[in-house]
Amino acid sequence: MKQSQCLKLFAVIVSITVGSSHVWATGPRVTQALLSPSENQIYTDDFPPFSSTDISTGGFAAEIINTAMKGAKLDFVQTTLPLQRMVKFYLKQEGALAIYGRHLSFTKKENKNLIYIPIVVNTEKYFYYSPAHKNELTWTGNLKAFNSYTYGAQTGENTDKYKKAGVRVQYGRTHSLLKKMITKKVDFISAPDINMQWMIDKYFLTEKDNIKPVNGFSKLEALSVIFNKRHKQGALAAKAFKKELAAMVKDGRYLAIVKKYAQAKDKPVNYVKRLANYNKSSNR
Amino acid sequence: MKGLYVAGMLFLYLYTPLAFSSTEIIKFGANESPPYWSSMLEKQGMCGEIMHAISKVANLKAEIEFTPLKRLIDDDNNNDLGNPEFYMKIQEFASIVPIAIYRVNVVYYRPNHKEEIKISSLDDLKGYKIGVIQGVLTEQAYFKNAGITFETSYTEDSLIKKVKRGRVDLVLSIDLVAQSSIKKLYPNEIGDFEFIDVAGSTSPIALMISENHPNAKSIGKEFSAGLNEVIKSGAYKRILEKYYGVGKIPNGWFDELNKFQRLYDFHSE
Repeated sequence: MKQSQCLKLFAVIVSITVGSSHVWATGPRVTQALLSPSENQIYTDDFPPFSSTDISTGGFAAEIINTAMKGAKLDFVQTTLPLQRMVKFYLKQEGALAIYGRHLSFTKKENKNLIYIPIVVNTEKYFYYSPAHKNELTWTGNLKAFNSYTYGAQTGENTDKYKKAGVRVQYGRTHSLLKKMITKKVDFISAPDINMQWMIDKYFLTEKDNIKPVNGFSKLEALSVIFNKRHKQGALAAKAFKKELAAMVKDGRYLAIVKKYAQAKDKPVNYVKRLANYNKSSNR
Repeated sequence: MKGLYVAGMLFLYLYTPLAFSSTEIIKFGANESPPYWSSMLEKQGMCGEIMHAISKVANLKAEIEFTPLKRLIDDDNNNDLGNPEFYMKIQEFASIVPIAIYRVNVVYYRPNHKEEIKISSLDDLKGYKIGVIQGVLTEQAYFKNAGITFETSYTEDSLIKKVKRGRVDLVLSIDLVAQSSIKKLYPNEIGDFEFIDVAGSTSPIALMISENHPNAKSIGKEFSAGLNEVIKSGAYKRILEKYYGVGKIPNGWFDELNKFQRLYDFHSE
């Protein structure tokens, strides 16, 4: 290659590198929400693979919601925010149509104006960092057995039961909690299996074999869309959404979405069964 | 005498750290994004000026280190400047203080179009070729299905040149960034470029203090109080008008800023 060609190539590489390094902060984020002046805003926080700006479809839960809302012919825009507290802000102070995400708790009074519709029921587990513990962590059925440990709670999570059991608590989001666990500042954290695997694969692949589930512990947690009755279309939208979701489960559209995201060890049909059982047990 | 000397040394030992704490330099990372943050501009750009004005009244010392954005995002231990959404995925901040806002505009070159262009929804973009900066386009499949065509460029200057030459019809851009580029490239044709404000496109520009920074929360509170002070004194408005022009601060600026201050108010938790 001639020297002039090398220089040209170098100039192109430099312009691309320098250009792309600063475009993000000066460029607009071009999303569906931009130029979509819909009054029906749905907000969630980053919770991969259920909702994430890193996933082209928006994520597992986002796709279920998109399909159900479109099927019900409801106009809407979904936005993924970085923090859970921002999701609550948009519901309470900006009157969003609906929100979804983990650990979104409200007072009894606030709940009177909210309609919960479960869309996915997950298997949630405790995880720990094995190099920090000589012996495997095993669930004995009592949190007090973990009272010498520190629990990494999600910001906004209700941690009363941990505090009552004498477990120390540190707060953060999944990424920082995993980091704290690896640096031995936190002993165990809680997450849906599918969420933990996604985070490990994306950010902590070298620690894959060291992050292990606590033996003998798993519980079911429902992820619900929470419609806002104070929004002028809230109650009607919730009703139409629920009806369309039931139709999706029946005609296989729900299962088709699950198949895109479910882990190999968790059969897609289990998601359908868990949602049906959850609805049955809670008379929804 | 010896006792007095020891007492004096003890006094210095105990109180010197306090005296130094007010002169501690708080380092922030920013990436070159003129005219908001730039090492090339006087007082480091519009937001640089705001930050230094706040620091002065709050009796804090803040410095900006200019670094490529990817490095700033990957560093999950530093203090950052800019739109918090770029940084928050993998970093926890003890305090986020929004100090300004920016908006997305649709820019077009009037002589290339017989009629005025009106854009109020995504549908209005159909039929136009739209220029955007490389990397800002998400949900590409959605836009493709919606029949909206984009062309990307690596720099704002390139987009502005393309829209003038008619290679693209519209450019989606940040208001001041596009204005700054037009002023530089076509200073005699500024009036030929039309700007359409995109409703609901406002984002915050903030000072972000890492949860690992000593006294992060109290520093954040001092910056917030300093911001209120410079707004009250009129110094803040004067800085904005230097960049936007006198009387040309975008409508609703202070309401939007206030909304972002409430949104990122971690201290009330």
